[in-house]
Amino acid sequence: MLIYGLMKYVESVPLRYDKVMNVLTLGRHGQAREILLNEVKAGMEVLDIGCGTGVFALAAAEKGAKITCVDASASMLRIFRQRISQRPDLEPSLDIRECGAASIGHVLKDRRFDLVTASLMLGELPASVRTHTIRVSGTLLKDGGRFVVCDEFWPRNPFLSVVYHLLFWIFFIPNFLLTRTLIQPVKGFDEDISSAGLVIAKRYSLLMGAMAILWLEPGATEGCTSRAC
Amino acid sequence: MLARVKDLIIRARCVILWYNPIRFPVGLLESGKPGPDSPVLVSGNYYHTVRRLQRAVRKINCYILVADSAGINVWCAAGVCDFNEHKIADAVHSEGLAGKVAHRELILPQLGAVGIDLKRLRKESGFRGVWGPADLEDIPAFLDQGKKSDEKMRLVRFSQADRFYNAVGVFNIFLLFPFLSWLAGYSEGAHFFLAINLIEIFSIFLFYHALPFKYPTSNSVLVGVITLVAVLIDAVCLRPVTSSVLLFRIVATIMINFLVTIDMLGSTPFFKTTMGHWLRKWDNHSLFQPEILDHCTGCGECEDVCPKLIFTMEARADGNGKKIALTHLYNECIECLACVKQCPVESIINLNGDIYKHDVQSVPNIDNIMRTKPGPQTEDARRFLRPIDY
Repeated sequence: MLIYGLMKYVESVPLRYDKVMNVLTLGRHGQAREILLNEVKAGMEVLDIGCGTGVFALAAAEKGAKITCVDASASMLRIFRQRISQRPDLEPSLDIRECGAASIGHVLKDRRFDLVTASLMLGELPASVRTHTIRVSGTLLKDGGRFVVCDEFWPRNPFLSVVYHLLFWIFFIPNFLLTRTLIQPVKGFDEDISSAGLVIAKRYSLLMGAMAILWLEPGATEGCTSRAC
Repeated sequence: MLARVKDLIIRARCVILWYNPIRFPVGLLESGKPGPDSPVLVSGNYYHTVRRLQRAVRKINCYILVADSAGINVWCAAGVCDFNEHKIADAVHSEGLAGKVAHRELILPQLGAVGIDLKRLRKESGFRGVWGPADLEDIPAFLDQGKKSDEKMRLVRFSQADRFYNAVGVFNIFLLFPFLSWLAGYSEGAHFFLAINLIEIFSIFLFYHALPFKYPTSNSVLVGVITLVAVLIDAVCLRPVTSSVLLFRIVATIMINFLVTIDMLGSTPFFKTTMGHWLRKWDNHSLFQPEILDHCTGCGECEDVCPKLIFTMEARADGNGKKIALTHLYNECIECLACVKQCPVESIINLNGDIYKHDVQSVPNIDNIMRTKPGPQTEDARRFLRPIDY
């Protein structure tokens, strides 16, 4: 939760967002982005939910993919557009939409994607909005498409869960002072993905399991629906 | 039973920890037995607000759509993009509202106007937004009169209950001083701080409308002077104390009064200026002074959302049948910038130019709007038609 607290803090200075995030996550933010970028191939249609200042989207566009970028923060998108103005050659590959994450089904209606990514944004959403976002993201996948999530997850292990609760209350004051709000790691993710008909095809742990990258695919019977497997 | 106890504890937390965001889960609540034609009232997710709204509309069959506002009140959240069309659209889709009601209309809190773009809301959610009243207590009357707000409903109030709530919150923050005094081993000082806090904070909030001056800062200074005189009479004549204790009491009284007075610049819904401006010029007016440019279309959006009734639509002087917004008592403005946000043609600018509070982040293109210079014709357009009795 401290990661999110500090993230919210640095969001107030979007220009420095990516650099600061990388320091905060001990370089793993950049590493996670590289792993996500490995999924991107030329000609792919990609949806980046919570694109922020667009570092991932621009890198993906450079690889020849067509990126639809969604973010609810106008200030982040302003920085993103400034970056695009320095790379006009990539502009035709980028489609920026300012909207909420749960509204993508309505805004993008008939569009389908080879790859949908959501990096460090699900924890910012209220539970019901997150559930809906995951469900809609699943429906926006083409056949054979993948939904890749990078986030901080609330541990299922009871001992670790108690430790997280303790840390949460210890960091309550600094977290609140920095963010004026309370953001938690993603809870109930397994239930959300199983209700969305998604299964985890692969997982990669970061920061001693505090963060993880999960590859999700449609399919209720094959694979596993729990992060424990 | 357990849920009720939990609710009471959270509500007590709302009062005690005033600055602490306390979230109500985002979702769709039912009041009475709502049907497909029942109105949908949109609320932020500050726990205290949602519970108050539920109580206010308990006799009405309606839906309450709780959208994320980061657990803080709608007015503050809207100004910093924590409550906007995206958050509302997300709640609409997450709750499957389109499948539950036959109409496509959302009743929005008027004080959220600084953050909500109605056109984008419609595009993103499929629902049309209608401004409700400024105070949620007026919602039943608002619905009774066909979802129309009259002047009284658009005017922001500061009720006794709100003031008490505010006073308790400020008092709890100010407990820091007796606590520090107690930690330093000076318990008599801690008692003195407690008494001074109690007198200065509660008298200014609870007697808000009874005190003689128009501005709460002036009233707070008056309360401070009276308190200081009482402290001096007590410490010199009635129960004499040593000079060091007397000095402590004088400094403590002045310091607490100064801090409470500074709080009056932002903690009330009446006046909002910067501390520097107030200290330098002894002026309570907001730095933003609205001025209408001639390309105003007279659409009335600003009139619908202004919580101080500053705008009215009047026929243009050239008699072409078109209307223009006029600013009445523009110096009553509290710089919420709802008018600037809602104006579709960016015709509301600042007489003070780029000098404003810079705390509202939800207005796109605000830098250019604030840098726009008023034209000569607008000086003629500003008229002061009638006083408003607050």
